[in-house]
Amino acid sequence: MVELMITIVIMLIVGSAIGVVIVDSQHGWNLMYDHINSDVVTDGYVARKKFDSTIRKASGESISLGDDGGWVEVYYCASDSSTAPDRYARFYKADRDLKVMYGKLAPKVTLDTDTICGNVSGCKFKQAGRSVQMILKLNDGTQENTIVTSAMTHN
Amino acid sequence: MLHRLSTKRPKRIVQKTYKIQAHPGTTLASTLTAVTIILIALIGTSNFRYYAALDARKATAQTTAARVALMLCENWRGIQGSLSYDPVAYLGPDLNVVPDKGPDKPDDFTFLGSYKIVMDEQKNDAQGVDYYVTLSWKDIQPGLRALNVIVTWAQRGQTGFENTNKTFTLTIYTLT
Repeated sequence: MVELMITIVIMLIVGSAIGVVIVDSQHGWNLMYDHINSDVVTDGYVARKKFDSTIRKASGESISLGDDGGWVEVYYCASDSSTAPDRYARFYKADRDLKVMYGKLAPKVTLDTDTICGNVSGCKFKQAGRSVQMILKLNDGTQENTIVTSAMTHN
Repeated sequence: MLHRLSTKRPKRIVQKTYKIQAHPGTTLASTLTAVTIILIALIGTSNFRYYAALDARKATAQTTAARVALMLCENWRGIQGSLSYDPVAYLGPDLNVVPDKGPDKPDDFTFLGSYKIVMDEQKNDAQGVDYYVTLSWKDIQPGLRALNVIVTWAQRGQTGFENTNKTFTLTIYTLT
């Protein structure tokens, strides 16, 4: 009987400890998983990739920047046969989305608008010569992620 | 009246004896053995998760450091490597960048400036890391300049330049 009681007490203590460790470990794991794979992180990858690819194919001759850095517009050629930039792409923040608007030049007509990512709490564009910078802050209420990226216009 | 006597023999109460078998139960030794096995498995699992989380955090910090270096390089390159380049003027206040200590520049480069960049403040993100940056330059030949950016940070999450232990270096070239 004594042995049984000792065994039960040991099992209770160890079982409780294991339970606490498992719960804490799972909580930490969930936090870290979110830190790596949550929307604010993956959205950041998408935004950076889109910004880079668009800016790098743009012409460095002209870059339009909003007064408060709220938007940036670059110009690029639609195809290899174009002798001058005949398309534009404008990045801007609308509500909590980062969007890019594509269109034709002369006359200026909007062709399409894509939503790049959501959860945007702040977005500023800056220009230094032929390079354009984007400082994008993403926040889903539980996590903040600041994306900084810069791209050179190569045409 | 004659009663027919039964020819059957009267029943006798026979006491059966059962052999009590001792089935093996859970002993203290077997319990402790089971507990030990469970603990080993649990510690192994926790260890795996701990290192997975730690490595993920290290990877995130290193990726961000590389992005910071690339952003500064391309920002500086956009103005042809001007020697008056100041990240505070170009990127602040939207980016939290201030003059501060920084890692040593390469021997044959000329120092431009050192800065501290805070990407995600720790009050908002417990995983936030402070990055310390040094910019330097070198003229390779007339009209061609090398721009060097060294980013250093503390991998273990401490703050302060004295705790930095990881470095990322990027050098790009620009026509001046």
